[in-house]
Amino acid sequence: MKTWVLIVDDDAITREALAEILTRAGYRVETSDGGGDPGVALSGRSFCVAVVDYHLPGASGLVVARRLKEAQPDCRVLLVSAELPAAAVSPAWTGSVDAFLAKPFSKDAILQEISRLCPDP
Amino acid sequence: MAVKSKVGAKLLGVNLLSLLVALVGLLVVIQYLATRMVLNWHRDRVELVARLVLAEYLGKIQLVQQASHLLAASQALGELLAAGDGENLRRAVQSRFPSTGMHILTITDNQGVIQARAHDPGAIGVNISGSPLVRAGLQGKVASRMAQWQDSIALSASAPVLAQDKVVGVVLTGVLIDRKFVELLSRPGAEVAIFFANRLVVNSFKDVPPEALAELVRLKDLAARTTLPQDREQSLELGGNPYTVTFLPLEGEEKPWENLIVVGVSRRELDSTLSTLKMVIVGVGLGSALVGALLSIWLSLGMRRQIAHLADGTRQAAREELAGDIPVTSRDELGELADSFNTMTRALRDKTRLLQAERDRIAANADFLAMIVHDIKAPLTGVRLTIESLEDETLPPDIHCKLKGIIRQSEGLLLHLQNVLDLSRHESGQLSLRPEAVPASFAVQRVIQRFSPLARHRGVTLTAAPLDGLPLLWVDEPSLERILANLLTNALAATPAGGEVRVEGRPAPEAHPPAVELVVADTGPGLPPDVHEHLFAPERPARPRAGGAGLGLHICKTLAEANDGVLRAESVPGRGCRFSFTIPAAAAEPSGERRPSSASAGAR
Repeated sequence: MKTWVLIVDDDAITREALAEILTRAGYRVETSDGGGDPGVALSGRSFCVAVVDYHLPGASGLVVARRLKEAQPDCRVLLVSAELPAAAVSPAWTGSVDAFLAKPFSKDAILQEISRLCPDP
Repeated sequence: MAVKSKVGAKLLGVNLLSLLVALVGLLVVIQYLATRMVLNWHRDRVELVARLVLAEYLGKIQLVQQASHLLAASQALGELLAAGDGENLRRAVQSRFPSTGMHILTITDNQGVIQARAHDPGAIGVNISGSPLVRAGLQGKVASRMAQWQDSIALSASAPVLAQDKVVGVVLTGVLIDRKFVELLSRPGAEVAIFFANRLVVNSFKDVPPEALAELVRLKDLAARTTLPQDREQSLELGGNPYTVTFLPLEGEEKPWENLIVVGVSRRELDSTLSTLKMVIVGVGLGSALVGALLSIWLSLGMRRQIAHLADGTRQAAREELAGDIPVTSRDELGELADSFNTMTRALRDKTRLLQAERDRIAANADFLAMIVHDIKAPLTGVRLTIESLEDETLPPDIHCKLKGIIRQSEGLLLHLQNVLDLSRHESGQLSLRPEAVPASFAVQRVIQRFSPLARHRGVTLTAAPLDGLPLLWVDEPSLERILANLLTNALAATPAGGEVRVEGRPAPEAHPPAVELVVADTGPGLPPDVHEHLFAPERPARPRAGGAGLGLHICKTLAEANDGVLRAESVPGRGCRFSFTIPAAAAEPSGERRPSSASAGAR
């Protein structure tokens, strides 16, 4: 069974390129532009990893990450942003984020990170 | 507010002390002058009393003379004398005697033989018919003198009695110079003594023992020898009472310093005046000292308050609390000082505000720059991922190569962006470092991995010496990676194909506390010596090395120093460069917990 990966990013180009790379790497990918509530809207599927952009037009990536964790506690959250947000390392958000990857990242970097978080695709 | 000023207290002390000194000096001078004035006044009084006594004495002489004169002028007496009628003469003398006021009355005939005589009971036996007076009378002259008879002294006068222009007798009148006489001469507070023939005859001094009077005699002899009138006044203690005595020689006599009057004026009154004066002066002095002290305190209060305000303000300013103006409480130089101080602190406040505004502006700029960099990074992610997804397509090899080139360029762009961002954060003080224990080999390997495609592309060998034996580094990991990335970018750009870039590490020699030295060495052309000087400056006039290394080396130095390290460059022209930097070794502690960022931070 293929592993589901959720991509939450408002930038369509990034989202699509990432989806293509991950699909080619053998993952099943669901994307969201972060506008709705991904945690609720996509609750039908069980995700192994969620790649969440910190800067979203609606809520912060951290809020999305927390909702996801609430809906699916087994889902690992990989936060991506240009810089590690100071809030992400504060005790209030500990547990919402499993890993951080600085933008812009390479194909190899994201694949390596996802395979680390989700060892059995 | 409470006045707590040490300078103020000292000022007050100086004030009060000088006031005291001035006052004591003034009191001494006043005391001296006043005492002199009082003594002068006393001397004048002594002189005045002496004159009065002398006038009284002369008045007595005149009385005696007058009495003799009047009797001599009586016709009846002349006729009785001329007729030799002794019986009636004696009767006439006896009847007239009481009205004369004299003590003794003697009438002689023209031979100088006493014809009639009358005397006071106290003057029995006193004979005033001394030959000089009778002789003068017989010669038709009037005369007067002090004369002695046995123990009594009398002041006597003679006048001729004429009948038909012929001297028929002489009238002699006299008063006794006794205690009563001197008491009559004396004044309140002044006593009189009379010397006759160099002998103290009678005096009005009360309760004076005879031996004390010997002193008066000694003084008289002293005065007799001197010629200066002021020396005739002497202070003398007689019978427990202080006197100022003066001597009045009876100049009319042949031997003036044998017959004389002594006047003694009591100094008791003088002493009491002097002590009253002293008390008044001291009282007034103490009073004015008190008033002066109160005035001093009152006057210095404003000054001390101003000094305290100034001291407070200065202390606050020293603690950079430029809260507000200090009150200006005195209208003198101190007040001006406080005014100037306020002007100064106002200027400082303005400057501080400007500085803060400037800092805010720089911080806002840094924030703005961070936002721009962020906005560039997000689409750059899309670009890169899109290119990398294309790599999986079957593409002609030259297109594939060009795509790789685009990715490398975008990485170069990213490094520049990050340098600019770090620099602006450093300048605005927002560069936050999170040092942690990092294994050197871990960080170096990651950067080598990231740069090996570029090295391969350039035909340069990129290697790292084994770094496993090195201590852990205590460093902000992103800073360390940025330094290495910049140095490697420069080294790869400077090294021609076939050359080598090598990363080495060793414990820094002679470093306290212990540190690790990391070296990036290349085999490029090296640096000309004149470049060394401003190698690490943000801008350089000439760029000897390709790749725009100017800002890169500057940020390397900045980041190395921010992490308590030092960046150095060595170069042998033609042989290559060695850029080395030190990073403090982590203190012996277990490698701390890793934050999420350790997984990546722009890793490849």
